[in-house]
Amino acid sequence: MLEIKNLFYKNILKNINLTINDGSFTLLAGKNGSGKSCLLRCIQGLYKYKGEVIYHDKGTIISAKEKSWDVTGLVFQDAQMQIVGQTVAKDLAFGLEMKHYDKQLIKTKVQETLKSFSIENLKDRAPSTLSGGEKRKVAIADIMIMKPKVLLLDEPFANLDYDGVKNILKLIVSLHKEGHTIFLVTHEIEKVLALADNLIILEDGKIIKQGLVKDLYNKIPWEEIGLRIRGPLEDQSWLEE
Amino acid sequence: MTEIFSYRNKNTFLHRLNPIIKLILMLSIAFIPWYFTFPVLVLSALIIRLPIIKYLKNLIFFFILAILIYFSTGWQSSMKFITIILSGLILTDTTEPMDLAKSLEPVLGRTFSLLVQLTLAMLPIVFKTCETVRLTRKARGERFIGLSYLEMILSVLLDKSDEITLAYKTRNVHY
Repeated sequence: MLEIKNLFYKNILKNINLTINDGSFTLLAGKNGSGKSCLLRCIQGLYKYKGEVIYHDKGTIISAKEKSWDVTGLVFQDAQMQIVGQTVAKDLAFGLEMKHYDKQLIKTKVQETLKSFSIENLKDRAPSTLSGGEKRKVAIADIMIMKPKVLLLDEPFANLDYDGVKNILKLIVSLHKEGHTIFLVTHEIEKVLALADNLIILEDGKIIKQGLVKDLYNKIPWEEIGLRIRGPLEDQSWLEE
Repeated sequence: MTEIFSYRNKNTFLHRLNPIIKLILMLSIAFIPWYFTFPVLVLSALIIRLPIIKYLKNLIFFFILAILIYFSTGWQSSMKFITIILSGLILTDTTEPMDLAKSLEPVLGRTFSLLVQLTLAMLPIVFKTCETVRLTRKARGERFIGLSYLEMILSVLLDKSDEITLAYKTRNVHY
């Protein structure tokens, strides 16, 4: 379980308190400039914040400030920025090389990840030649290969076409079904609301609502907080098409 | 058009050879007479099937330089120059830049090697930014590239550099 206590960052984030349970799918929503991406970067330890981010691992407490790379893995909105290797396979290996893993172990883990993300066909491709959706998939695989306890996703559907969105969403759902903890930021909440367990609404750097999606759905004045919901919550048919 | 001085993924003896050895061999060319090294390089180019024909358009600049050297200092210097260019083509054709940077780790240290690797990884972002800036300015009617073009690229890249630093940190880069 990841716990965030009294987190402050400059004038952007104000007294953030929240808990992310293991295996949960949490959706963080809010208008542009509400501090969503900033909160993800604080959790990942990229920004110096005031407060605590701790992970409870079967009785052991790990401070994310000290070991953020073991606790969380953040996928940026612009996938290209996180890509380092000259081929997809080498890019996957990069994070593990930084952790000084054994070469043979890296090779095995890269093979496993290529297979589990169904990107074996991209193995020898240069990342610069991939489509937007493929790059996003590789960026998620890059982070997941390092086995973070919580996967943080910043606007994973940005700049993707319909099929790209569908493929990435299917991937996120399958990761969640495998038991991974997902913490996703988007302002396109309609696409994921029905799939998430928990919902957090951020406004001007403060959490204004948090709880189970099914409990909050009918209580939130969506239009008032600048978010639009058109279809019914249960409607996931477009994902199955 | 095929880019010169770029890596091609093949499985030849030269591709598999340790990048450091290739770099040492290339540097040694400067000290060995060209008539010893040139035939070896031509043979190597044939073995790896270096696409010289495809490179011709890009190589014109070097041919002109070789002719100028011929007229100014003689054919010996001109051949030495051609030998050096050919060795550079073979090295870049058979060695992935990232592998070269990694192989420099024992010599130059981990931090420096990583610095080279990350700089190389940033190149596609730099090229993409340059192209985007050029096209956006063209779309607004600009016909000639001036100094302001460079200023704009620099400004966009500086904005991106913070973002890139954070992105690399998520990939376990702690230097």
